[in-house]
Amino acid sequence: MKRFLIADDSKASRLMLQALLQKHLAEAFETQMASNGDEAVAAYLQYRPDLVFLDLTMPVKSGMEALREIIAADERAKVVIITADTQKITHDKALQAGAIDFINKPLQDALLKRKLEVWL
Amino acid sequence: MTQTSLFNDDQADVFRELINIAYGRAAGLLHQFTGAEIQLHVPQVAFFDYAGFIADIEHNIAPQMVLSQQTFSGRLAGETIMLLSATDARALSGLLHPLQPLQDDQVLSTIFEIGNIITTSSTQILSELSQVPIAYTSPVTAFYDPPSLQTLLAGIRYQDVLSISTYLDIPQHNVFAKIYYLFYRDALALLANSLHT
Repeated sequence: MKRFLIADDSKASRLMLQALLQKHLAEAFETQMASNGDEAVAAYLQYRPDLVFLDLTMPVKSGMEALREIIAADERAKVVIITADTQKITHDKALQAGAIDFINKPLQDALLKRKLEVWL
Repeated sequence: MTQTSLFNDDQADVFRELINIAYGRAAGLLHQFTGAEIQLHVPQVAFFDYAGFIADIEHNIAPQMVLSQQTFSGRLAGETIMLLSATDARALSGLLHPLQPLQDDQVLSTIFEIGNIITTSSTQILSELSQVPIAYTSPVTAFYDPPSLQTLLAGIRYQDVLSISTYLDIPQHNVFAKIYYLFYRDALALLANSLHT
């Protein structure tokens, strides 16, 4: 069974992504939620998910900091950035830090469906 | 500041995320125009009465300020206010005009354009998500000292307004501005239903 970590300070966005995963994935999966960067790192280390969905603009610890810590702990971690930040420099920094992909909010249903096939 | 029962925590979460998405769009455009990296912050949500809003503005007053105000209308009616010190306004304007020192009128016209970019690009995504059209007035941008800002604020009579604020923060260039998105009461339900699968 696939395991996902959804890290986003917005509860609405976490639930929306979870609903879209349920819509697009035929097989059962487990999800762990985190609402800030600190929780994301801790959850990753404990839960070792197959895929992490990581927001960048979060309190306590930013998603970019969390990304670097997750990759430092596990260079094979698969982290997808899902963010409102549309700056190219942010995109480039995230991929340089080890994210496997970067998509912007608001989440587009069709794009997520296509991407899931690539990521998984 | 008054937090009322007009919205609950889940709705506040949706308002916060909407402005996060909306302002993220604006930040991408500003990054394209200026080349500067904009640091995004988690937006703050509050429901202000008039006194609360004025108190929040006064908390950010510097000896000389620039304020850019732009109204949008339609079912999603409100306005944006960008408030920054004159020093920050000159630094921000200098990002778009790096080769020459700017006169005050050039600073104002640049802040006018930046305010317009922020308002239109960010509220367009709100318009798409809520599926209602938004119309804009031209921004009003001016320098203010504390007494003239007080006079301006005295002319604003919000009964109550949803304020979602964030920052235009460009650390590398010492630019820091507060941006308010103000929505009138009628827009609350529309906004609250704008994020859904």
